[in-house]
Amino acid sequence: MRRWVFFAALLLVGLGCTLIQLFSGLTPESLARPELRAFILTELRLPRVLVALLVGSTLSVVGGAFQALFRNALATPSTVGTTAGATLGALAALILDLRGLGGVSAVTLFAFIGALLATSLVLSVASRGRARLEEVLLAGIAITLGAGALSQGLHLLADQSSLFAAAHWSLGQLPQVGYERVALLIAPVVITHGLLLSSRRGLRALGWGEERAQSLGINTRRLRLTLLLGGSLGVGACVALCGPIAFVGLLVPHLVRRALGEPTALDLGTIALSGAVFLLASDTLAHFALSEQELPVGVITAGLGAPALFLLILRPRTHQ
Amino acid sequence: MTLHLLCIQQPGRISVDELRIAQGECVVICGPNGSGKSSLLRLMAGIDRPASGQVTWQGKALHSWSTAERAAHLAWLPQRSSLSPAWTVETLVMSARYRFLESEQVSQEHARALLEQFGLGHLRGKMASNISGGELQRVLIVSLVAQQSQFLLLDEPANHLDPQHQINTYQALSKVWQAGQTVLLVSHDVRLAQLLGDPARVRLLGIKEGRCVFDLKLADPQLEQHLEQLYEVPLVPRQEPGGLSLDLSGKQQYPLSNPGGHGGSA
Repeated sequence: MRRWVFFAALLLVGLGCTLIQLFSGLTPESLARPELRAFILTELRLPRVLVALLVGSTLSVVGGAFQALFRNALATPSTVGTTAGATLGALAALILDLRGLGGVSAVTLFAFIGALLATSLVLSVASRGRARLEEVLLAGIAITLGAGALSQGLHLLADQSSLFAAAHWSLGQLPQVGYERVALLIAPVVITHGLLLSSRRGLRALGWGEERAQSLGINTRRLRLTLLLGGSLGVGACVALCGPIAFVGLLVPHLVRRALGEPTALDLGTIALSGAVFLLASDTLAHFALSEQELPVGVITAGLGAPALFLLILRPRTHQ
Repeated sequence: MTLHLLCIQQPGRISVDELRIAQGECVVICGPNGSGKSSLLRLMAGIDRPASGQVTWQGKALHSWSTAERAAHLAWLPQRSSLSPAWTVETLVMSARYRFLESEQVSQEHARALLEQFGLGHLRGKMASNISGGELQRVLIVSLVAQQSQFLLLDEPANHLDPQHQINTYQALSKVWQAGQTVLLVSHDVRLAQLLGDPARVRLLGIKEGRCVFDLKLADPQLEQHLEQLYEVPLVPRQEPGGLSLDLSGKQQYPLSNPGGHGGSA
């Protein structure tokens, strides 16, 4: 019953936000001209809705999976340093004025390269036979700190305009992109969802701790590498395209858990769906929060996320 | 099917020349605290690899079986389980069926049937973190059985429980063994071993300072003498084979033969 209400609410909010995003601000004149209407709806607005859904879903599903993998409610898609690597790459592209490749902007390209470099560092730690998960977590923290320090250093080389661009990028914003960029995003996002969703049972059994999980028949090393690689690939692609969008990966799994009761904590499918709707709703708000200019969606997710998390902590838990 | 340990050396902890455990046995590994019982069980379960020597299953080294194959042969329950706070009793048992490629629905049916079978059906919707220690221990045993492996290895399954729950736990294990499973368990409390069943079939391995100092059936008349040496505590003479009690006071008799009436039934 509770599930049905939850899914109905998701569906309603999702549909409502899609309609608002697609049709808001359209004047009767522009609606009357079919070719203009088609252009606005399908070329400008629909890709943006798609990006919101894909990015929200990816960040949330990775957040949920990492929280289970590290058995830590504070784990986020950024925990293993992916976001810090991407940020460093994006800053380097902006400040050193690097060139893009083909249709891909320099910021996106180098952010993705940065994300992959950070991920490969973490994987090299995680793939050692006897590596414990805490060590992987520590490696992620080290990478985040190291990349942060390099980013700070880069700032010294920057001029005013690239500093502003960098600051804007780091707030996180869904870009106005065409389908070719959406297509670029789809491949890593699909891989991420495939790898993570197919690891659900192993991830659940990891709740027993690594040793018992092994005796239950789980190749814990392979599972860990699958999750880290799968998660980082999608997150890297999302951060490269949109910048670091705060709080989504941390908040959505917690929201879903509380909304449905603890036993469904590893319902990654529901987490993915909720994340998609959450980011779409946040972006819709970002669109209309200020009348003259658009607010970066990262500001909205952080603005909603922080108090929401507080409320979750303060509200008493309900057990079945 | 045999689990075979040969020339095992774990520097400073374990030194075992040879040990065979056959299908259908019930083995209690006993010994004082710190004697290496748990380390031995971890070697047998394939969790740790011996520094030298070999643990083999059906003639093939344990670590050369794949994780999935090993899980089909050997199931292991550590002394302390870390549990996900998100589990109900039912999900806990379901999660132990990882090795089966089956739908959630099938896992759930198995979990429910097993919980019913162990008289724990009423707990299935409760959060695993909210049930009592005694109940949890039996649920953990159900999770071990749910894995449907040939050998079940348990590390101190009744530690930290009150006497009533210790007895319930051992009775649950007895049921598992009587149903044809091979059961290996580590315990420092040999009195509980008599709850497992036929004392002529329950095998006791005494471990001291990493070495196997005796390997006897529970009904063996020599056992008392060996136990006294093992624990360095005097034993009260038993009335019937299988009944054992340690003299804890040093003077006063402290009989605990046949608690629950399941002892020397043979």
